Amino acid sequence: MPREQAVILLLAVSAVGVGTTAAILQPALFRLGQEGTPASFSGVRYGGSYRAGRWVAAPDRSRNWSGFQGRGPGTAK
Amino acid sequence: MRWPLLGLLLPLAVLALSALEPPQRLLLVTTEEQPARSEMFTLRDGWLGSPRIALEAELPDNSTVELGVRLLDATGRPVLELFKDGWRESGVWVEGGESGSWQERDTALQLQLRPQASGRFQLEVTLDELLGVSGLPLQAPVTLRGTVRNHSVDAGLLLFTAVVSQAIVLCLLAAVYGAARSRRLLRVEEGVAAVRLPLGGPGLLKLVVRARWELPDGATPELPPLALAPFSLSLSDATGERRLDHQATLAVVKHANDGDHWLTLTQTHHLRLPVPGSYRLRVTVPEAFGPQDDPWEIEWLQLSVEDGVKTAFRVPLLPLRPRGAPA
Repeated sequence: MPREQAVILLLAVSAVGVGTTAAILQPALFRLGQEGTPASFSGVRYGGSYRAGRWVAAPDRSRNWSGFQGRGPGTAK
Repeated sequence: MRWPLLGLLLPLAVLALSALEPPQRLLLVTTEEQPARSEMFTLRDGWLGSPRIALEAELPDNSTVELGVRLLDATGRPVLELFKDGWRESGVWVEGGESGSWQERDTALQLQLRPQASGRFQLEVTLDELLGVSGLPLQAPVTLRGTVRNHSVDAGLLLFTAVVSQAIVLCLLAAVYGAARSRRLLRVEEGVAAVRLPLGGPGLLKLVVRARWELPDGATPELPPLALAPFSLSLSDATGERRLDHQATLAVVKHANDGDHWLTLTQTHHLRLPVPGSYRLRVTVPEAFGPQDDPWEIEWLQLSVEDGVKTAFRVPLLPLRPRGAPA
């Protein structure tokens, strides 16, 4: 087999191998106890994060006023 | 070399296998006063896929909600807490005399993570601020349906892998089978194309014939639903002996685009010429056909000759007459 064909064959085999393995193992997936939080989806916010292997709840966990605009100019919130 | 084509099947087989895993179903009904706890479920730590919890809230129409979701371990200790801002809206649109209804929502929640160790977990869902369209609180329970899988795989990555690997494999097939000993393209503006070439040897001879007919300017297209064209392909060897005489009647394909009309014909044939030598190829198609006064006329006839071709799949061969055999 000429060398360029061997290279393309190697590319094809490694693409299948790497893609399939990564899809099964998902090495970057969050594990409980790891620093931080899992990946966020739409409309989701985490009420804390992992620090040094323990879940630490954020102090203001039930209300988040960051979206609250209030009346008057933006600086006068 | 066809086996690399099977590379496509591996990611798709993994995807199909992961879909076979029966999910554990969860059902929670929560009100503002009463947080709901799901049944206990197992989250497994392992390398074969990963746990995935999916929840879908059934909200009343035109409402928003804030759901507090806590993942509790077997002892009831929260190991994760999150808030989901969900909403569901529907309405009627009117535009340019047409109207219809629309519905949009964001009520789904997905949690993908691995536990520190395999164990039993449960979800606790609290309902905060279920508000109606005018911002007034609604007093209604919210039902959540969910599934827990322990061996989910990354479906997007698997599909991407299948597409990319198939593209690379097609490149590989093109590299393996695209090579030819010689290539020749002949294009004439009449119904007969003939060429003498040095051909033959290992591999196959691939002939591709294309023809195109057009109407003279201003003529209106007029053709029976099925237009047939007599086609002939012949091959003579160095001594002038006719070794192949292939005749067929083929259906031409009609095309029309933006007022233009034309007819085409495409034929591919393979031959085996084991003895190298000088061979003459001759292809004929009709110069014109259709009505007598306004016929479709040949625009061009193209003959592509590739010698020493290997094919990935079996192809039918036109049989050659042995030398000296009566015609």
